[in-house]
Amino acid sequence: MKNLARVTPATIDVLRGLAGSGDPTWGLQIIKQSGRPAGTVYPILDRLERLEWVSSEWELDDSRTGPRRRFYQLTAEGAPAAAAAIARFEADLASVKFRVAGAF
Amino acid sequence: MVTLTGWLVRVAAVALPRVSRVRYAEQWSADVRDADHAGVRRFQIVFGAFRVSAGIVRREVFGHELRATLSWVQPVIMLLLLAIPLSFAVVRDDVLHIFGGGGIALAGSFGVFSEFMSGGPAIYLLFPVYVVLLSCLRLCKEVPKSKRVTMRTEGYLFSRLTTATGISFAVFAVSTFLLFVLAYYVWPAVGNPSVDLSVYFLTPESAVTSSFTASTYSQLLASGSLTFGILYSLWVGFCAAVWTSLAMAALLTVKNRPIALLLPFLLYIGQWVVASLYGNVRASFVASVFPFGYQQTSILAGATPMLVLAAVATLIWGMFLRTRSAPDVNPLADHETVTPTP
Repeated sequence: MKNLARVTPATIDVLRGLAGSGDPTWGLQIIKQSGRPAGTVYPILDRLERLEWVSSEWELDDSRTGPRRRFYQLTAEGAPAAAAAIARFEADLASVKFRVAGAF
Repeated sequence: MVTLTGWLVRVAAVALPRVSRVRYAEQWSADVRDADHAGVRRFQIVFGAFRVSAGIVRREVFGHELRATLSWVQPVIMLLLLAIPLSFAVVRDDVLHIFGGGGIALAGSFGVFSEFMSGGPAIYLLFPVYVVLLSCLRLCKEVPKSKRVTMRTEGYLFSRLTTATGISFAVFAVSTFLLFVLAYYVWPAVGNPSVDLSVYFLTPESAVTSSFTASTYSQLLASGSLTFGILYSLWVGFCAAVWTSLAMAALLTVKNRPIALLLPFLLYIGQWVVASLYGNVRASFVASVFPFGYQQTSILAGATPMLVLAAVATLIWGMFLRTRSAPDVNPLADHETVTPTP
């Protein structure tokens, strides 16, 4: 697994969406949960998958015909890394809020 | 029935390497189909698909491919493209003076530009040779000697084609535009050497208007010299890209590499000779790219030979990529396989 060179708030939202449920999550579900547009979420999922934070697989629902949905899941190494990234981001955010509040 | 957004996400997937293309085309199609159910707008998905596609192509082509392709050959060819016509235009004047001649008299800025583009036959006659040197040497090294080659993936071929045609386009378009800038901006700034309007009974004003009918594409000068400079440079770049794609196709199909590399040049010159013999030199590829010195025709008529060739090249490459992506073709059978270099 490679390190994330850039962790944006949108990346954190996507990681939260993935970490929230331990099960594989449908791409559109992540878009919905994160509240971010697909134009933001798709490239993030692509990057996370390339860096091996996330793996993806086709849905196994045989009852649906036509093209299959793609489900994403944090990898074994990606899950703790995602939790650490989220915790770090929240800590940074809290310290910024504290400093801003202190300034007033 | 496939919806418009369904088609659009498939289009977004077309440029991807095959493995990614199959995966994303299906994934995005499913997402578009179920977007309403998930409460996501379909066009959002289309936008996301194009963003992912652009990112992957940029990584493949401009990251890996372009870095691996860039070498000293490109700047050398570009220098040649600039130096040969320049030196020809300047040196020829001096030589004529030395031997007691009257030198050359050019009719204004367009005359200078024409002299650059057509005065050095080493440029317009050897055009496909420079294109091949510029863009096909890397592929040539990868093709095993005297073997018909089957490439491993059409994604690999596509990335080579995109990079090579892109480089050809950029080098020739930029070189042509630099020569245009020299003719139209630098030349007047240094006192218009070798320009003598009196020989042609022209005034500075009539020199400009007469240049509108001087040769094919010079009609564009009526819309401004910069418009002409940009559009003609893009045209030369486009033609270079077409010859690149043909040279690459020849390299992949013809067993003998030197002959494969020479084929574009032979076609270019051969067709020019045949067109000249039939008294219709303006229908040649040479005149279609470098129309200077030939009687003016409409822009469409002038561009037609190269446009037809571009259509043929597209057809050839369409067949190539289709064959390579066919699932029942075993790329390892019969022929040697080329492995993409990292």
